[in-house]
Amino acid sequence: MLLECDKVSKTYDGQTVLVRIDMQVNAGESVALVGASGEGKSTLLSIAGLLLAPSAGRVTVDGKGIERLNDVELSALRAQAFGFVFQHNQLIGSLRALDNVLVPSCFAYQGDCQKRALALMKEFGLEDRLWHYPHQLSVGQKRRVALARAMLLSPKIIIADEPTNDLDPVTGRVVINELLNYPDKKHAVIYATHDMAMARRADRILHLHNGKIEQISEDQLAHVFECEEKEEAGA
Amino acid sequence: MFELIKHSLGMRTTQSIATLVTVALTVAVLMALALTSIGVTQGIQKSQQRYGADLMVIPADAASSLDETSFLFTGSPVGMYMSASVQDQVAATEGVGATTAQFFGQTLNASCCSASSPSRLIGYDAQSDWVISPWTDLAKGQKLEEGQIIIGSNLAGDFPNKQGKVLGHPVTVASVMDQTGTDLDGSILMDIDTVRAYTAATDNFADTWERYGDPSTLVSSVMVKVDDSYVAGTCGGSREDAIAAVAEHLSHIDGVSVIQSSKVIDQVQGNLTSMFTIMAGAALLLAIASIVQIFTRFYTVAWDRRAEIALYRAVGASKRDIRTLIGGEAAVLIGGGLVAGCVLGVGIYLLVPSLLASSGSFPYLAPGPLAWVGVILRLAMLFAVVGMLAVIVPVRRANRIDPSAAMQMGDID
Repeated sequence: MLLECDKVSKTYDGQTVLVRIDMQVNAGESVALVGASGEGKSTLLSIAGLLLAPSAGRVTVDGKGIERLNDVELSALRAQAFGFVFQHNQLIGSLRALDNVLVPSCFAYQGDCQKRALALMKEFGLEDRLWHYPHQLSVGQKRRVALARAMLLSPKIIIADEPTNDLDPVTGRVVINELLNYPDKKHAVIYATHDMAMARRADRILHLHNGKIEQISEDQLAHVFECEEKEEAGA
Repeated sequence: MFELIKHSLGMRTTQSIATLVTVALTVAVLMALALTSIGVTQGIQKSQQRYGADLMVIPADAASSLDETSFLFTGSPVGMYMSASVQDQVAATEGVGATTAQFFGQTLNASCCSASSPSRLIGYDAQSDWVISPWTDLAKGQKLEEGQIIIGSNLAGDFPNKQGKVLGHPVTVASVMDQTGTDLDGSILMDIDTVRAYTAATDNFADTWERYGDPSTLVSSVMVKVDDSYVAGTCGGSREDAIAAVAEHLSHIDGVSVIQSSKVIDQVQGNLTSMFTIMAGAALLLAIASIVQIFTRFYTVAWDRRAEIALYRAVGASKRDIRTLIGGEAAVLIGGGLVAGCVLGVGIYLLVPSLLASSGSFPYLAPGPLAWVGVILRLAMLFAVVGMLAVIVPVRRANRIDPSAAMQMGDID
C-alpha cells in the first residue's frame, strides 16, 4: 500500500469538510475521486499529498506515519513520493517549458533530471516546444508540461486535480492516457474529475459526498452524476 | 537553486538594479569616507609625533601672513627670516629645555631639480636636531656633507638614481624620510650652513638678502622643547599648561611669534572631526536608505510570489530551501553591490589625496593595505548583517505560505 488515509478529518473555521475518511492507494492502480464542486476533493488530495495537515486522523506513506517528520523530512518525502498536476497547471510564466519541467529538481536532485525531462517532453509530443514560454503553449500543451513536471522525479503517486479541466475531449483523452500509463508495480495515480468518461477509466472510483467517502462501481457512477446535476440545478 | 535565484533576479531587473546601485553607492561613500578618515587620523597622529617640538618660534612679520596649517602640513616654500641670535634668547628663556634652528630656502623651477613645483628647502643643524632625525635612517647627530640631501617621501620620484640638482648644485640623496603626513613629505633637507651658502650664491634671492641681511646670520625658525623639570614644577603638572606658559614667556622676545603646534593640530583635528561627523551623518542616511530599499524589495516577496512559493513547497522545497532562495537573492544583490561599491569607492578615494593636496591644510597619511582590507571586511560584515535583517521578516512570511495554496492558484506570472 503506497498511501493510506486513516480516519482523516478536516475542519475549516468550524466547518467540517471531511469526516473520518478512510482511503488507500496501492501500487499499480489508478483511483478516480468524484464528487460535486465544494465536496472537498481538492482538500482530500492536498492531505493525501502532504500539502495540508488533517485536523484528525493519520496519513501513512509506504506504511510509515508522517506525524513525527520535521519540515525538511516532510518536504523530502513529498518530493519523492508525490507529483502534482494542479487544476490550473501552475506553470511559471517566465520559465520556458523545459525549465518548468525541471523545477522539482531544484529541490530534490535525483540523477540526470535534464535527460529525463527531455525524454518526458518527447513522450508527450512536446519536443518542439522545449523553449516556449507557457503563454506560447496551448491549454493541452500546458497540461502536458505540468504532467511532465509531476513525473520528473518518478514519484510513487501522481495526484492530479481535474487534469482534463478546460480541455477538449480529444486532448483530455490524450492527457488521461498519459496519466493512466503511469501506474505500475511501484507507482499509482489518483485524480479528481467531473468527467464521467474519465472516471470510468480508473481501476477504482471513490465518491466524496457530505464529507464522507465510499467506493462505487461504474454502474453507480451514472446515478451519482445524475444526482449531482439535479442538486446543482436545484441550488 | 542558483538557476531559480538567477531567474528571479532577472524577472525583476529594474528592482534588482536599483537595489544593487543603492548598495554600491552606499558602500562607495562609506569606503571613501572611512579610508579618508583613517588617512587623516594617521596624519594627525604622525603630526603629533613629528612635532617633537612643543613650540616653533618664527619671525613676527611672517606670522601675520602665514597660514599655520599650510605651514605645518605642506611643503610649500616659505621665505621668513630672523636673526640667529633669537635662538640664544629662546634658549635662555625660562622653561626651555632644548632648541634647534632651521633655515628655509626653496628650490626653484624644474631646471634646477624639482620635477613639479618649487619645494621647501630646509637647512637644519644635525647636532642639535631632534625633530628630523627620527624620520630618517641616518644616525642621530650625523651631519650631512655638502651636496648631500634628505628628501621627503613625496619627492622620491623627482630624484631618479638618487641624483639631482638643487639651486644649480649637483646633489645626492643620502636618505628618504619616512612618510609623515606633514610639510616634511614635500621638503628637501640639507645641512643648515649648506643651504645658507647655496641661497646666498643664488641671484634669485638677492632681494631677500638685501632686506634681511647675510643668510649666514639668519634663521627661519627655532624649534623648542619644553624642559621636563619645568613641566613637573608647573601647577597641576600639565604639559599643555607648561607649554602655554613657555609660549607666553617667548612671546616677550622682540620680533617673534610663537606657534604652539599641538594647538594647531588640535584645531585641525576639531575641524576635521566636525567635517567627518557631518559626512558620516550623510553616509548614515544613505545606508539607511539602502537598508529600507532592500527591506522593501523583499518584504513584498511573500505576497507577490505567493503562488510561486506555494508551488515550490508543493514540489518538495522545505522552509530551509525557501530561506536559501530568498536569502540567496539578497546575497547576490548585496554581494554585487558590495563589489561594485568597492570599485567605485576606490575611484572616489583616489581623488582624495589630490583634493587634500590642493587644499593644503590637512595632515594626511595614505592608509596601508591592512587598513584597506579592514575597511572592506567591515563593510562586508555590515551589509551581511543588513541583508540578514532585511530578509528575516520576508522569509518568515514566505514560510507561512501553505503548500496547499498551490492547489487553488492559477498560473504564475
